[in-house]
Amino acid sequence: MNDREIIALLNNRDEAAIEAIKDRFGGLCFGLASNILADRRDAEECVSSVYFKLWTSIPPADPKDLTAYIAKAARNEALMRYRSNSAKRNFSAAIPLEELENCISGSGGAEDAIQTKAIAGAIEEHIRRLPSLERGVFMRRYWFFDSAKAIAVRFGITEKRVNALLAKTRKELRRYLVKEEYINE
Amino acid sequence: MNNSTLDISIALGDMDDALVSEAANASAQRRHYLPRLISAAAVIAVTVAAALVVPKLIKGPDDDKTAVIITVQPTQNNEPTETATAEPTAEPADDTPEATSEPTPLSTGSAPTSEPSVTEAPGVTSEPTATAAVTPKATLTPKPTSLTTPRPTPSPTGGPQPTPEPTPVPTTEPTPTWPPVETTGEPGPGPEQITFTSLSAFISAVQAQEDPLLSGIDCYYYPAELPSGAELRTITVSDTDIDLTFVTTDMKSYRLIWYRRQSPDHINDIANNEPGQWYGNVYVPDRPNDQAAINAYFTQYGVLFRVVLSPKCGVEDAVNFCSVTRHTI
Repeated sequence: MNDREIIALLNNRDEAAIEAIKDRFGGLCFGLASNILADRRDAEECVSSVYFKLWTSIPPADPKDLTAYIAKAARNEALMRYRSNSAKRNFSAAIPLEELENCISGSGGAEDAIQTKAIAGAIEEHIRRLPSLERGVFMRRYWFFDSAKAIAVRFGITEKRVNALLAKTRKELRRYLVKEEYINE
Repeated sequence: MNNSTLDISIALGDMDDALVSEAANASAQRRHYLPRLISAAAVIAVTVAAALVVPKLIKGPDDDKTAVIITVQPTQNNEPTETATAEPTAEPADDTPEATSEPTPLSTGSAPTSEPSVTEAPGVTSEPTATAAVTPKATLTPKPTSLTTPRPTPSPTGGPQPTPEPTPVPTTEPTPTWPPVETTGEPGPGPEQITFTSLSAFISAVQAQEDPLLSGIDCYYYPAELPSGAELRTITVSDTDIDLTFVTTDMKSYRLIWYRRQSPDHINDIANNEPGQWYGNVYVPDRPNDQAAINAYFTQYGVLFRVVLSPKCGVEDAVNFCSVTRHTI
């Protein structure tokens, strides 16, 4: 079933839409949630909430790219849970977030939402200009929170190479953010 | 970890769909490579084998290749040297995944940013709801006469937890006679109420609006029946409240989760729940015939309840939700 057919089912309030979403995107949602939340039950909860949000948000939403829409929904949901629970538990996302923190430290706290958005936008701009492999590895690590090992398997390269690419990309990103004055040296 | 890092990471959730899709499908691209690599490897293997074996076959005592060719393949005119000198590495070299490919920036023109309100994923811009002031703990009322023996783990947030008495009744067939215990001071179900014994009956009645008490009630659900392992015994609706009683039917544990929604987006503030205990709006029995009762008053945004089987069932079987809203509140 393609994206438009699934969205049509959702628009018609047809429960088969949830089945179709689970078939096509269940692995994506659960993988993303598990990468961030670590605990299987939390991840299952998260995925359930994502299905529910999709059911309630489409319509009126009419996503042009359903994969991205669902991935974003799952990521947002998992990160919200991460935020509310992170003081009490360990999570898989902690390590990649710390890596990212080293990369963007000096941003002055990014306390206001506008600056946060601006930095995120600059990161996106930088990612867009990366070679495809570096871009894919960076996205899988810091957007999907995959482990280096999983990324290595996915792209058919060694784990060592993944770590080297990530380190190089972080370094370049930091240089870019400093140059554009988003963060201090 | 600095909160701003998390904020920035969350803000990255707004990233262009094209970038997200590309990364999400990275595995699919690799899968495309795999069969091509395998077939390329097969071509190489066959060719190399031919290069090694054929010359030996054709090498006669007098090294007269032409004469041997006639012997091996008398009906063909193939030149054996052509086979041996084929170039099998040309195709695989093209098929291997990109190592350090040239920069291939995505087009910025394709970003569907002109309609953020349409393409934005749910929850992208919403504030975290962890601080929402929902206190369902006080109304979650495990029946003391049940076999419920909540684990002693204390609540991480210290809310008033239900404290079922550890006096199990040695009956294996609970009857739906227990009324939910009202502990919130909210008006309980009065004489004006209607009771159903299955979720599907309730849903059908709501859809048919067959009772004035159901007017203004809207519900959506998935699926219509609870997962095996949990059985809904009664669902009672009054003007202001909805009461439900559940019972387990096997050794699988399930979690019963419900929310009194305080806003349209308020469905996920069940932070800090731990399996194997009563915690707030999450109930996790761990034995057959455990019973659970919910008494919830409607908000204008309704009540959501959900049964989640865990942990033995896969995520595909683990979801059931039903949201009930009374618009007339």
